Amino acid sequence: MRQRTQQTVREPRVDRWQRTLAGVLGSVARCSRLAALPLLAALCGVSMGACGVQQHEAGSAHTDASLAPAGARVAQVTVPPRTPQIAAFPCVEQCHKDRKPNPEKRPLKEFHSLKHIEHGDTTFWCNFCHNDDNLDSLRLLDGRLATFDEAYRLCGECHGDKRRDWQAGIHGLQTGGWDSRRETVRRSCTACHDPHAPRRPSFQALPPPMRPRGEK
Amino acid sequence: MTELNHGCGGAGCTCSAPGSGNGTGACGGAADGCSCGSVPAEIEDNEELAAALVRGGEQAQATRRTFLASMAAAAGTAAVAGTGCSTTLTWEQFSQKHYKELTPEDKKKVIARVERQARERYGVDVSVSDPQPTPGIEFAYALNLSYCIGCRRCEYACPVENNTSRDPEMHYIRVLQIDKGTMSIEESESYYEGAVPAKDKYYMPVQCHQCDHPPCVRACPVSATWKEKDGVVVVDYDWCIGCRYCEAACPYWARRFNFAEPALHPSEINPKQGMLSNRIRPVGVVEKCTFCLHRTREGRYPACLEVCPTGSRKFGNLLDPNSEVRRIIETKRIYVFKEELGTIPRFYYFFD
Repeated sequence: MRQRTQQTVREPRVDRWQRTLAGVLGSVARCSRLAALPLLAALCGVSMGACGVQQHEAGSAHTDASLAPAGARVAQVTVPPRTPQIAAFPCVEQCHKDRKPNPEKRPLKEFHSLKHIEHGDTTFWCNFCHNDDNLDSLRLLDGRLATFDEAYRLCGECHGDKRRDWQAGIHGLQTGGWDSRRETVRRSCTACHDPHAPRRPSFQALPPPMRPRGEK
Repeated sequence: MTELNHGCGGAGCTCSAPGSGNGTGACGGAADGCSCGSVPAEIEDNEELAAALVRGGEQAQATRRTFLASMAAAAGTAAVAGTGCSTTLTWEQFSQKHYKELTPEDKKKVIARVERQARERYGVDVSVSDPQPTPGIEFAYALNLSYCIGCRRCEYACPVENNTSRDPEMHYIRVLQIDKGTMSIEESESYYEGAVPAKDKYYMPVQCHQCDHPPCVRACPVSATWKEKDGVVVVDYDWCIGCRYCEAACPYWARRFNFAEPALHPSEINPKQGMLSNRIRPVGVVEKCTFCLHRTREGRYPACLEVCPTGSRKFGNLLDPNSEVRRIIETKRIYVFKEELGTIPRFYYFFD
């Protein structure tokens, strides 16, 4: 199955019957892979040569598709911790040892300078996400706890589509390496989005490129 | 233009670019420097540079004749031209074979020469590698048009990685600002300024699409450009004659021509270079985005991807069913730019 998908992507010029042939041969190859591979290669070569279809330039990898793909994505993803970047962390130790959590919605005046939470319309208050019993952790909807480093577990409860994409590496910035040779670094949600105002602020664009001579 | 361009005593060799064929400046071999050195070193303004380039074109005939004369004189024995000129064509360079015909020993010699020239011209020690494509890997790029905010961070990260000229400025990436609700490239704006994203606009960065059927490769009269096995279209900078046919053939405006010798301050040079990608180019040759193949063939992400503050850019192996690009192609709405041309790009735009 995997083999057929790959061929569809990379062999745009190969006709359908050839793909079918390759699929049949591929299934043979799977049964007795080592023995059938040279046969597969030879037959593909003959069939393509006979009908004058020019083989794809990267066609040498045509038979490689049944082998384990080189550099295949292996989960080697790290999410850097967020807590070292939160100045007021740990919250309990620094301020909230004796203070009792106040669930009443009000403007925060002392330390937190949030005017209002630009997230979740007007329904959210601190204890919607923060754990009242221990403010060094976050509370998921089912009562389980998550650390600040695992904010994606909390965010993903409402933003499931984004969480799914993030987990697949499609949403958000990833750096490092794109295959198993290097570690991939994936940022947690709060590395890019302020959880209290998740909409990204506008950026100043870098200067425009030099105009060609004569263009106005 | 900084003085760095001119290795020949203040006289600019850039003037010979349009007519100098191989982009090696075709200096006449005179002991006192370049015979084409009629452009004063104090050229600073672009318009002056333009005029100088035109003058250079007129002089090209004479320059080429002088060069051939000196070739005959040297009778193909040792170095053809005198030393000291930054764009001197040596016998070593003149007799160099096409990249695909180089033996490993030849390659070592070429790499040694490239490293030596970087040291002579810019005073920096660089290391040039020649990573090869891996079987089973074909690169693909995906860009999220819903998230891109047009901040141009990618556009400026590219020259830093790829050692492209800073003056005249050369960017492989062009970011188009387009009205929401349209896909009209004709009415797009690539010189926008200020805060982004602007109201009712979206942004579309365009760079080389590394086509599966690249029109630029077909247009090249000397086969100086070709598609590698992992799908990246590369240029042999020593084989390119600078005719710019490929530039005209490319529907994505992805190719750039070195009208002048790349102006780079030694502190700006990225010393980790690839032979087919980011080594410092000579004057008069075409260059293009190579998906940072000196990085990506070693498993790293391209420079433009790593700098993106929105994470719109995604890169990976098209043949790996678990890669990000494959997942995007399978699950998102894909937009292939100028699909009707049949170029089959490896660069996919998508909406999320």
